[in-house]
Amino acid sequence: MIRLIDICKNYVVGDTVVKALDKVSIDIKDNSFTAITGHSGSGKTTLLNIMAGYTKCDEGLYLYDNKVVNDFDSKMMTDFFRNEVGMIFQEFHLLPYLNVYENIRLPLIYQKKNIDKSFLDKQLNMVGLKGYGNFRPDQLSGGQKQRVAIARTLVSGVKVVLADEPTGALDRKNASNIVKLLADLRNYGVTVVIVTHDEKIASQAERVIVLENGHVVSK
Amino acid sequence: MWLVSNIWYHRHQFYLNIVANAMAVFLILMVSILSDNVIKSIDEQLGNLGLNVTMLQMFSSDDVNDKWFEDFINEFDIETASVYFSYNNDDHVVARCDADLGRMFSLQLRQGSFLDESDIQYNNNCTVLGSKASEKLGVSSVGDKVSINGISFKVKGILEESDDNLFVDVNESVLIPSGYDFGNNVVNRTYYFINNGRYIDGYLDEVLGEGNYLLINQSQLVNTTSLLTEMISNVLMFIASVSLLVSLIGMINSMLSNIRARTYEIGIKKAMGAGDNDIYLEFLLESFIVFTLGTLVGWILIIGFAGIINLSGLMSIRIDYYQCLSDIVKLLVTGGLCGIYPAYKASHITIMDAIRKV
Ligand SMILES: Nc1ncnc2c1ncn2[C@@H]1O[C@H](COP(=O)(O)OP(=O)(O)O)[C@@H](O)[C@H]1O
Ligand SMILES: [Mg+2]
Repeated sequence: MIRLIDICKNYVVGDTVVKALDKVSIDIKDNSFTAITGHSGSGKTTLLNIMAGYTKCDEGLYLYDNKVVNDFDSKMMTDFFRNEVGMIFQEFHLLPYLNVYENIRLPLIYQKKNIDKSFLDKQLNMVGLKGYGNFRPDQLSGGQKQRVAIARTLVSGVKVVLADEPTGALDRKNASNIVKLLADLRNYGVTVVIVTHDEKIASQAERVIVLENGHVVSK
Repeated sequence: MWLVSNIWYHRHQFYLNIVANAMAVFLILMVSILSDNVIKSIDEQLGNLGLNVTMLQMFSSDDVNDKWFEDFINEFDIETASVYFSYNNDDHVVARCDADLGRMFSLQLRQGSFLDESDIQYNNNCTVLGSKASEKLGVSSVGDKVSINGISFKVKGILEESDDNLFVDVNESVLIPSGYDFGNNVVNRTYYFINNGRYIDGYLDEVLGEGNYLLINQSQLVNTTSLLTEMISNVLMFIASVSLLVSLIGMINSMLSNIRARTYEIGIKKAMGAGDNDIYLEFLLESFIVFTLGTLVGWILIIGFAGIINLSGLMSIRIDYYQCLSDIVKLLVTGGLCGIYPAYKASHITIMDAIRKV
């Protein structure tokens, strides 16, 4: 599904160059559940942003479904965000002025799809938020917000879900629920990649990749 | 629907835009409507006088024989004409005139009738009084006698009060047949006639001497005054346009800073699959809605303003809805154009711009 070959990414701040990723090569199989761990600053977020297509690598090759993402133009990128890869953020990133229904419907608007409310309700049931459709994000707890974010990717029907420390802002109980939800996404054929520095969470994945200073140290 | 809740959420940023925009639109429409009304009412007033009357006024009348006017009338086949020779007598004005004067200026009678041809021909001792003159002379009905220069005149008619007339002020006048000459010093020697469009300046120069007279045609006058009011309204329109421009620039500026503040929203939408085009259209539509609201408020203000002016009785304002509609369409197009650049800027914000924490 996802093949990263010798990916390098540098950040230039003033005179110093930070090598965030240095020749990272990873294969992620279709419908798998992968965890990426590593210390803070090891390059996990950078790696995920490259996989999501939010930023491009400086060197290396990114193959998605055997297509070269490096060469995508902005139209193809939009299509990529729309139908292929979705992201779950630590900070949820819901739009505060939209209610839950409107938030999870957002991807459908841009897919130009018309879907009735019962479909949205079904997705909300699935993440355990039955009856919360008309709530606004600021009326929800952190765990509930993250469920909304998960429902949003479910609704969009993307094939790969990337999660960057999705439980970072949550307590233990909520965290394990969220991870379970993410793991269950595989039942819908979704490929899941989760970034975490929580050993316990990482151990629930089929496979753990450890990053250190921009290098992959164990797969 | 989500677009509406979008705008509603950001409404605080829009209020000032709408107000500024409404003020500018109000100004523009007000100038347009007011100047339209002023021009129309001036045209109307002048038009009431009978547009085809020509006035000829003598500067130095001593050395001119009154006989010339008869010759002039014959020479140019003029059918309707009257003299108006007046002098001050106590607190009213005595004016010698012909029967045509009433017709030319559509003088309305409250009582009786105007001087007729035979009154003029036989110099009958009858008079027609302007409304103010009749009050001053204490005359209340036709048939009363008044004494003018020691001669007793019978009152034949009393005029309605008439609007200010640029040519003659008949309200103060005591009109008597033109043949009377008491030898008083005439202060105003004016001739009125309806010219059939023939060129008369050459003839008048020859008979009266160049520069000895003033010739004014009412339609000329109308043209000059409307040119003047048009000029004034153009200047006002220019000022209003500048205020619109200022408000538009302010609006573009606030839309741009608005977009900076909404980087997050734009980035998240892009992550959810919004293309550059989607964002572009969203922001364009949004600014258009804001602008339309401003225009609508301006429009409501102008209707309220016109209503208040009309109620106060200062002036009667009629709104030319077609004119306003075309003004509003023009404004909306301008507003739409203003939204283009900010919307373009918005569409180029990236997901990384939104989620970067540094
Ligand atoms: N936008 C940026 N500008 C400059 N340096 C950055 C930026 N983002 C990340 N870095 C640096 O790149 C390295 C990797 O960061 P990141 O991918 O966020 O690591 P992690 O998510 O594992 O904590 C860090 O040293 C960080 O300081
Ligand atoms: Mg990180």
